[in-house]
Amino acid sequence: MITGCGGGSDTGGSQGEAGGAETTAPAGDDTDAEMADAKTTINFMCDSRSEFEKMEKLLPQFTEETGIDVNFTFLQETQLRSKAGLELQADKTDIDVMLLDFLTLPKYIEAGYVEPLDTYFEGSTTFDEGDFIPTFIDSCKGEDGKLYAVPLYQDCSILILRGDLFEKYGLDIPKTFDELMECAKVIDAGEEGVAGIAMRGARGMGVSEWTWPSILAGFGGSYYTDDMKADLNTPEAKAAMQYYSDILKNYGPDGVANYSYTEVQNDVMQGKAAMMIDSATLAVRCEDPEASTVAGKLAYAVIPSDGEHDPQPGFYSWDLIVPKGSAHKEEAARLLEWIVSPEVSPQLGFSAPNQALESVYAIPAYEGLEGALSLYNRMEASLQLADPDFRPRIPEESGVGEVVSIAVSDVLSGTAEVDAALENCNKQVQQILDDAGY
Amino acid sequence: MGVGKKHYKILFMAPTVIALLLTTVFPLVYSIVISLFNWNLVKPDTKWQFVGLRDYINILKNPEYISALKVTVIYVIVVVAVEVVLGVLLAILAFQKVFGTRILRTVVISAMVISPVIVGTAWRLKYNPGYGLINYFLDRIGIGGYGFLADAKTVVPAIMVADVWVWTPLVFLICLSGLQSVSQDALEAASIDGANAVQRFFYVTLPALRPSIVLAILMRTMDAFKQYDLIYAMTAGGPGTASQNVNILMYNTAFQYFNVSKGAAMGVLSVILINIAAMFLLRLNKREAV
Repeated sequence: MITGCGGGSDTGGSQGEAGGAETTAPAGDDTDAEMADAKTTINFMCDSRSEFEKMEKLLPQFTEETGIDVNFTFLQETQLRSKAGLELQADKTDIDVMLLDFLTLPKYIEAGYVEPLDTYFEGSTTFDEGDFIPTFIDSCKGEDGKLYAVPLYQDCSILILRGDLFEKYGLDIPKTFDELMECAKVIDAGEEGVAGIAMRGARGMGVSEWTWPSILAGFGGSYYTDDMKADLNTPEAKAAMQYYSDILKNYGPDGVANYSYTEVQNDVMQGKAAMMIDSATLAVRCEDPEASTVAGKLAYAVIPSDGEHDPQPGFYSWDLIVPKGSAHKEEAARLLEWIVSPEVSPQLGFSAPNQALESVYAIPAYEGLEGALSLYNRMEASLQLADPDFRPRIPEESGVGEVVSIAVSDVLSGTAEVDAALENCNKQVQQILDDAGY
Repeated sequence: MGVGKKHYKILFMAPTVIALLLTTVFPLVYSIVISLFNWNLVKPDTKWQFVGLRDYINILKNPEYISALKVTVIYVIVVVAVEVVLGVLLAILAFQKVFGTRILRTVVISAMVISPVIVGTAWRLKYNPGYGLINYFLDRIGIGGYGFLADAKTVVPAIMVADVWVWTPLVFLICLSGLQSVSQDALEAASIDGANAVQRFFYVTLPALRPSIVLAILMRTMDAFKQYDLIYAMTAGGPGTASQNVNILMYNTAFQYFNVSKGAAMGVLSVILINIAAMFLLRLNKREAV
């Protein structure tokens, strides 16, 4: 089990609370009855994704149990991000539950816009912090140690590769950047119309700036120095950028500078790319025989590093929060508790808590490739390495992320050389830090 | 009885005036006000820190803004010019009562009713070098796939093509209705006086169409200046900042970096620039019409 492997104090803390949670709580039942009479409607703001569509179908069950009706507001992701900021800073909001990028959570907690959940979850029979990977549940806590959100995803970046092609060319699963480059080269040269590897190149915080930071860390680079100065013009950063550019320009698909996850995933699903480094959650669709031509042919691996540094898979989650300005906090918390319960979440297809991760991602690897392990197995290994601060979660990250992504995109499109792009990027990041008063 | 004529006027005008005040005047004034402060959405205490014109000065000194402004201006000039030329030609074509013009009208208009985000996504896929429609045809004629949206030199023209595809129909519609007002008598008279088709077009049809064309230019200039969704869906301003116009930068500033005051200042600058352009165009029309 994943939960056993976490850091000492975190796991200890969550088990302590879990112990409390297991005691039955008659008080909760009373609230149930009261709410059934009141028939409150709460508003749920999220983007459209298949998990929420499934949730709409299961909701009558929740309404019946609790008497709480749920009204959905579906937005596009970009609109969701901006509306989240606007709704949260208002004193009163109609939105009672909101889907939020984990990266933006700390700044909203610090600004006092998010309701802590601990008191609402006290005595819960289903919510148990021990059911989550410690780094993920901890990413939902404020500096005060209170729980402000529940994660819906425990996602990380992973290397997805074509097991059949690796078998054909007698390649081993790559563990270092050099081996990855070599595998991409061999398949790119050998297979007509198949790119060696696809990764994101398009600008945007969390677009190319989701894959490249893992390469940066894999070369031993970082965004900031210990005393919070921009650190993106170091030899490590330049090596990482050069590598990203070399592998994608030489063995990647054409037009990679405008690739977001959609293109990366499409290329793999259509057999036009032999490997990808991207979110593990994208693998589920790649393994769907109705949508993908490569279902059953894929294998999985922890992303490589330069061999000297630890691999640094990207860390990602979407969280659910209750805004401070909501008028139905108690009801909203009940809904959160219901969604992430070990019984409901696997049915919806989320990857948190661990029960959901285990059931949704139990996808076997291509059999013909020696040593290939299941998606769940490789995800579990990657998730243990994933660090929520692989792109440091400072309130200014949205600006910093954009600037970093522009550098990646400029290099990939040939607009700028590696050195110039990173010097400029470093200067702009430093400016953002200066403006923010670091 | 009690309510005089004057009061009726006020009564009937009130809904419009109130709606305008709420939806246009208030947001504009509010934008101007917050552009003078230091408001960052995630820092509640910054909301009423007065900084005066600091943001305006910083914006105008910022090379990113200047580059975005350059992209915007070039974009506006090119798409408006192409759309007007194509729109007028299409309108004249459709106005001739030739077989198939009814179908042409319907087909041409359909592009305009699709949501811009969908248009943008569709064009992004069309441009995909691996499986996009455009590159499929280029491949067929032996040119080979090319990542138009991934190259800083081709990205803006590639987006312009999509814009022209969506918005030429608007110019077409405006000009088509303008053509209905061209006097048939004048055309006949010109014809009797010995003017050929080209002369009739330049000396009779075109002058009569001028108000429609100016209207189309005005509307398209304002809209093209504000273009956001199409670019966002196609490139989000990339690669790098190659296709970042003022609106993309403004959106990112206000809603991604949550620097609301700076975003508002950019908005106010845009309002000023669009107004200057509109005044210039209207004056041009007046002078030439005399």
